[in-house]
Amino acid sequence: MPDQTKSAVPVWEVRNLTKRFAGIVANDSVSLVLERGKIHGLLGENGCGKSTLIKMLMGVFRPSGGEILRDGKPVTIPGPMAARAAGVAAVFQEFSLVPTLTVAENIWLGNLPGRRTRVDWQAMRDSATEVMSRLSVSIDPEAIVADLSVADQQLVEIAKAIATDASMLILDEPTTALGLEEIHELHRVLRGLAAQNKAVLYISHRLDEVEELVDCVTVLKDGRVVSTAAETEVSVEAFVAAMIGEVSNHYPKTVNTREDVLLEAHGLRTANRVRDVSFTVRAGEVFGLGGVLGSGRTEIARALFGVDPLLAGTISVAGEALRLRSPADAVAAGIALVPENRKSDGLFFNFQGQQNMSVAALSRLGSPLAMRLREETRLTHDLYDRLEVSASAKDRLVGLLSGGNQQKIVIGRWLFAGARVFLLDEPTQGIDVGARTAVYNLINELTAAGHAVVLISSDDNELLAMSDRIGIVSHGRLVDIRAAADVKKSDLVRASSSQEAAA
Amino acid sequence: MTALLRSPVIAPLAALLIVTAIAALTTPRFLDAGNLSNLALQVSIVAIVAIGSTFVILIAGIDLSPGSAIALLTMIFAVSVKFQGVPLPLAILLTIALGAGLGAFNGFLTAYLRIPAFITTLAALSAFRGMAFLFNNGSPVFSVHDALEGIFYGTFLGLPLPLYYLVLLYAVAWYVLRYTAFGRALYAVGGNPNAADLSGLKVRRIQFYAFVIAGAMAGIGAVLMAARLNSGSPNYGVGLELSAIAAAVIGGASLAGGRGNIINTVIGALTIVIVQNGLNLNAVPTSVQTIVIGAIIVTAVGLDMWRNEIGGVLRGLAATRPGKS
Repeated sequence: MPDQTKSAVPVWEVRNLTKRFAGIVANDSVSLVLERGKIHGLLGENGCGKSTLIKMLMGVFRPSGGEILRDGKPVTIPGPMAARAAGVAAVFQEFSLVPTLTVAENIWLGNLPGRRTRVDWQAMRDSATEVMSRLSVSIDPEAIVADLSVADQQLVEIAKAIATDASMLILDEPTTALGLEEIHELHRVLRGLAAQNKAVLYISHRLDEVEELVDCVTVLKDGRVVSTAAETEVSVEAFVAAMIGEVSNHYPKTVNTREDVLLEAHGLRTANRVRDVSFTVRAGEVFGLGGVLGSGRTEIARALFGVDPLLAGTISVAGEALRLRSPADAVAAGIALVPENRKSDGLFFNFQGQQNMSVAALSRLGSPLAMRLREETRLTHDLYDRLEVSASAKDRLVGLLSGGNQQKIVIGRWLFAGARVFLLDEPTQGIDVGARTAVYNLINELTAAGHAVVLISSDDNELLAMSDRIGIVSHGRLVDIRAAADVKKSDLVRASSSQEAAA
Repeated sequence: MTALLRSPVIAPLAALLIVTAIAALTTPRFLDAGNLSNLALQVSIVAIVAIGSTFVILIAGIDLSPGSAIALLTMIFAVSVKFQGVPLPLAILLTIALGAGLGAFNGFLTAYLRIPAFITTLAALSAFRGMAFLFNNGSPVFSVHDALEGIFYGTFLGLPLPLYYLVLLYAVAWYVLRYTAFGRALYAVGGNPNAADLSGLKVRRIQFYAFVIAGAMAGIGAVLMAARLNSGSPNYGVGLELSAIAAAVIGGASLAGGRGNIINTVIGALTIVIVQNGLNLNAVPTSVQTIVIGAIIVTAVGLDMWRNEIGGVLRGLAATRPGKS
């Protein structure tokens, strides 16, 4: 442990930073200190002011009050270019890479080495290799970004961010798309950067991961610091307590499994790597699918939903064999999919929540030639109440809503459609603790009503706590099915490492 | 005030009022009953074709072919009536159906063969006009039928018939978009085709029918065009697709799909036609007219994209003033 009382001036400091938007205080006198060589976690529920804070550091927003200090001296950051020049680099959840260019070109894009109109390609490759070696990763600078795995793209993104010798690296939800092994690799890289005397500000919803990585944590709530780096104990329980203000039952699981089998999959095989997958899910049961990212869990869901055609096997719901030629057939059979990527596959951003929820079952609004719009409003407003969607979210385009409310609306679509089998692919990804609990309560509500749930989650704790049984997926096969109580976290980890060994 | 600013109708309506005011102020003849009636006739064809453009733009497509389709359809119509002796009512129905067929061709290539709409309809823009020249050795057909002009120049209760066609078709289009499952699906498919597919909508079929509707509107446009000049010609409809797309875009339809409003499209069509009419009355050369239209399209899209920012500035100004206005 380094000396706690060291007098050295921190490389970056934010002091009483305040940001007001028309009538709303997004950041209320926020202070925090970033020291060289330390990884500083920044936590808080959606809407707590994290994004506002980093946008001020990035020069996107101008503070309404307070100051930002570098090496003890106040600096102003009027824009993103100025932020970069001042040594602030950021990696966001959404990639900023150009997929058709090479790794080296992406790293130096906007800052290509060479004179005037001529690019010095050799210098560019060499310096890209040098940046990669600083990260201790081996990615070919000549590789086309689109050909890389998501995890490698993430590393290129970091390489790009640190290429210009930043003193502060901000990472906003960098692990959303990564599997367990890849997260470990990312952590290794970040620790390496910290060891090179950089200050790292790390934001993630995955608290177990934050616990593993960071040196200290600042927790924001409603735009204020509720727990400073010195106060926050680095443990998931302490994070949760500070973020929601009280210690609650993190996973409110209720067991509702009934006798009758609702979903039965037998010998499923698809061109999309699903191999000989057989399992049953009873009414009221949550069947979890564990395994690393890319193990084939999402592909199993796609097969069950009629997205990827079956090469072999049968799917039946409530004993009735289905022929799924498209998702439309699956929807008609009462199957629901809450997709992994809410933004690209789930939501209609040109609609309000109401139209987003009714879209899968417009037949409920009467004749297709004369929809009753009042009925739509009535039915969806009932759902809003049931889903506990905040009142202000009701009559707005869904793009303006928090991730939690958005997810509730996607789930609400299938409640509206009266689905019986729910395929939930990473249902709590990127949503805050409060909304997570709401999703868990919804899962309980679904099972209590006798619906079947297939839960895919990369959050092992969530998977273990919310499932009744768990199937472990590796290389598109179901390698093991056990009662959730008999599965330990280490089993899931081991399943992923065995996948590594086999790969 | 702010509610009004946020309403989607306000920007196109303001644009329409401004161009109307300018036209009325610069040329006394603009407000003549004769000119206004002429305007109604001029706007009808553009506005009807623009219904189709709006449907296609709603699904994030584009249709560049209606101008050429109209040329082809007027030729087929004129030849079949004048030389083949097809009865007029039947020929009208056939022309509209054939238009739908041309749209189905575009829709099949775009929705099922997944060729981008821009390419499909650009090819159709070229091919349909080429086909038009295959009829009657490429010469226009004049004096098609004695009763034909009545379809365009007739009046009912003192108002020109095309105005009734326009109101009727817009009422139907408005109803379809607002109250039918198909209309809702058009918005959904345009807003997010992946999500639409995963919500059980038949995405390709919906895209296909958007093009079929656009083709049928071109068919109706062709009948009116032929009636207006009692003729068919392979040179009709040049640049009409641009006016129709401009009408939709000035009306605020997003080329990214999923956003648009049919009432705004008719406002957009009126804007375009009034600008052309005003420039004509002021004896502005055609070359300058087309430049002006280009400038209007860019301005309309720009204003729409920055509407939130502009609204914010106006609200800010209003807020700094003491008291309520």
